[in-house]
Amino acid sequence: MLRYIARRLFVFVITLLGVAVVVSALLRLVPGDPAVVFLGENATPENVAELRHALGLDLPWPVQLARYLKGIPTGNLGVSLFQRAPVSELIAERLPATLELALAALLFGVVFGGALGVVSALKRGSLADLGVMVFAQLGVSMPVFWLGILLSALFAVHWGLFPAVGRGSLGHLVLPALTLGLGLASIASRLVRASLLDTLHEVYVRGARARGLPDARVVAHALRNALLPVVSVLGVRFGSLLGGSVLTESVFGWPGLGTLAVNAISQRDFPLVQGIVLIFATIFLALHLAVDLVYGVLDPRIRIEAGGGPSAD
Amino acid sequence: MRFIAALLLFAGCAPTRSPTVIRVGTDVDASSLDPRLMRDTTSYRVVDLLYDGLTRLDRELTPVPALATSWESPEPTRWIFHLREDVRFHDGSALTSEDVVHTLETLFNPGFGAPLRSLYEPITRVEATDANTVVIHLERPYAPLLSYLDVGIVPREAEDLGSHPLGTGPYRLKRWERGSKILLEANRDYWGGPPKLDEIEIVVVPDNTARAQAFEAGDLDLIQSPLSPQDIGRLSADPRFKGHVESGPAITYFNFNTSRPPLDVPGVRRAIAMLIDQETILNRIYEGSDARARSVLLPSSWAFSPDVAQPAYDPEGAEALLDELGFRDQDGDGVRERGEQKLAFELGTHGEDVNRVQTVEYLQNQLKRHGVDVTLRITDWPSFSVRRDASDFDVILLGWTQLVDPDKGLYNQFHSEGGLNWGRYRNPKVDEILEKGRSTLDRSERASLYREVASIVSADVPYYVLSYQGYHAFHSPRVEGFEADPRGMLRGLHD
Repeated sequence: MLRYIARRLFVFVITLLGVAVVVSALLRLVPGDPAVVFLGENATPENVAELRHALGLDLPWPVQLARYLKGIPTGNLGVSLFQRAPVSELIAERLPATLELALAALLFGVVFGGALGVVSALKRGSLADLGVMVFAQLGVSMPVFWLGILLSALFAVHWGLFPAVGRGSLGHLVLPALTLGLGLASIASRLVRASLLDTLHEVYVRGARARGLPDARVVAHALRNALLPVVSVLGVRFGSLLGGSVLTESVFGWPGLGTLAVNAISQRDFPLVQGIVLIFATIFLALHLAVDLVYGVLDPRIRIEAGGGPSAD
Repeated sequence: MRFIAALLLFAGCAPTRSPTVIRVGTDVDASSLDPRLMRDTTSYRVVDLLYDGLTRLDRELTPVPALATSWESPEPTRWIFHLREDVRFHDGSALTSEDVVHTLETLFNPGFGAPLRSLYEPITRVEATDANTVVIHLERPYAPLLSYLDVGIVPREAEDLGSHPLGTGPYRLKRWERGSKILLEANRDYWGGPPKLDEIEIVVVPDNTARAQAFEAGDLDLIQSPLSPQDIGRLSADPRFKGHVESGPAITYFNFNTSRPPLDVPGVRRAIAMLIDQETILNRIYEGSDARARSVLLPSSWAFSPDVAQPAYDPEGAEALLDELGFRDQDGDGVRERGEQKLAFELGTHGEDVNRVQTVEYLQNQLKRHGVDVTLRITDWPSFSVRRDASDFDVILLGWTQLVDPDKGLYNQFHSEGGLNWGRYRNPKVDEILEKGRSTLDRSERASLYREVASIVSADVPYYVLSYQGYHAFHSPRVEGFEADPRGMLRGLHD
């Protein structure tokens, strides 16, 4: 197990290094010069050339990359070209908001979606089942942006139940978390339903029933196994919740990394884009690692082999 | 003893006045609160509350005294400014002429990277002759100087002003939650008298419609341009809110590349201008939020004249002009040509502005009907600006903002040597008048010079100005006596 984790950590570091190099290279291929964007409409070509020099943007790319990579182990991700503040500081300011929103959306998605999935599976073919499936279909197909505006119009403008914008209290979190988490709830409800239906037909479940175990205990047993595919999908989805929160952040004025990333890209703020991608990549890879480990906890049949990844026997 | 305790208790329980806080919505977070490095509207608007310049622009954009109480120019290349006494920065330190010298000197420092550096280039030297006098030496006479000296003065010892601003303005920074809000508190010792409000909270809501909704929900007290035309219509009709409309110092324009055939022929540019249905674009796409432009001169400017007008919408006239120039559809493919030269060009804009994208799409269809073949190129702003700066375009649709002096919208744009003359327009007569406009200090003389330039430009059509950008603001009854400023500055909350 330890050897496996060590091996995974090594791959983790190499992948991050790859991400840093590829992102840095891609950014230089995209047309657009940060010095031009920064100086704005009144800049003359001479002003631009001078600023490029001052910011070190006229250095060859390998030199810029080497400087960047050298700083990473010490947590020095460079300085934002636009905000003139350390990238690590800017990210640290926004990361808690992003994590808070993503976790709230995940919690809502899993609990609400999961509960709907269980009801739907147990009442298969009923009106409730149909209702859940219609909800799931709507939830995945509704654009996040539109949903956000709609929820805000109803719950903030019309009924005044929750604040329309900002972050601070629990009330502020409700509408953004619903907006971001609804898609996930839809997916979770369908996954849990399908997975639970499969499990309920397994021999051991039928055996348990035959032995006269109460229904609730049977379902609890079945649910534990039914959650396996759900966990793996949700782990990956959490990564996209982090990155995909841009529109939600924009609608609710939520100070997360999403809007920071979009602004950084549109300004060609190279160090900031690189820093944000690196942080997202780190979280994403860590989640994958965590999902693999949780798999083993949820299903004792899964044994982690020292030489390779997890395998089901 | 018991009496004193009772008194203390009473004092503690005495009803305290709740602080007057106004929440203002904005579309982007400030990038920097250093007046020398600001580049977005939020930074401009917040910095204006935190700092004072030597001069200040009033609502008519005329420079009036601020930190400088008076000034004189013994000769056209030397300006003497007398500073207000007993002005203090927010940390209590006194303002001196050395701070003014430091601020202006860092503005020219190429490594500092001040976005507005080019505006101060004619300055050769700044000196402090005593604690309250500053002398600015110029390379050549420079009439717009006073309009640009509204830049905030920073203390010479301070560092990292972008994040920790330190000015002399009516408000000081209390807290900045990046990406979320900027909280300002009143500077009770302000030289102009204590501000009316206790706090101003600038709240960032990137999406225009969401910001309007937050305003309707009562989460915000004041919102202002940029706003979506649809939201402007809805909020204007709502009796709960008070609206303000001003003509902002900004234009939206088409820039023609005058060095590329067939657009190198002034007649062709004129004909294309005559095919632009300004009225329909502004009513249908902009929904009346911007005003129809007549020329490169702003109606709010002292140089404006209604007699200067660019070609009006006249499709028949345009067709006749193109026929006369020899551009006819000879091969029946629907596109006019003269010999081998097709009447075709690329029309570009940047994708961030939805209205501009819709405008170029509409024009592509309109021009096709008259035998003009238009290809669209819509990219994001950074890619767009690279091609623009390299003059690698045929026609582009974009805008100018903060045109506080006519020189700012004309000199660099139309002078043969102008740094922003991306369309490569060359006209020795225009060069000569623009130089004269900079060296003449008499305003009425300058006005007639700029009218002459605008007349020539209107006939040559290196620019076709689509609109004068409107400035809109809405506020709730909580905001009393607010006076809108065409640049969106919030001093109207204070004065």
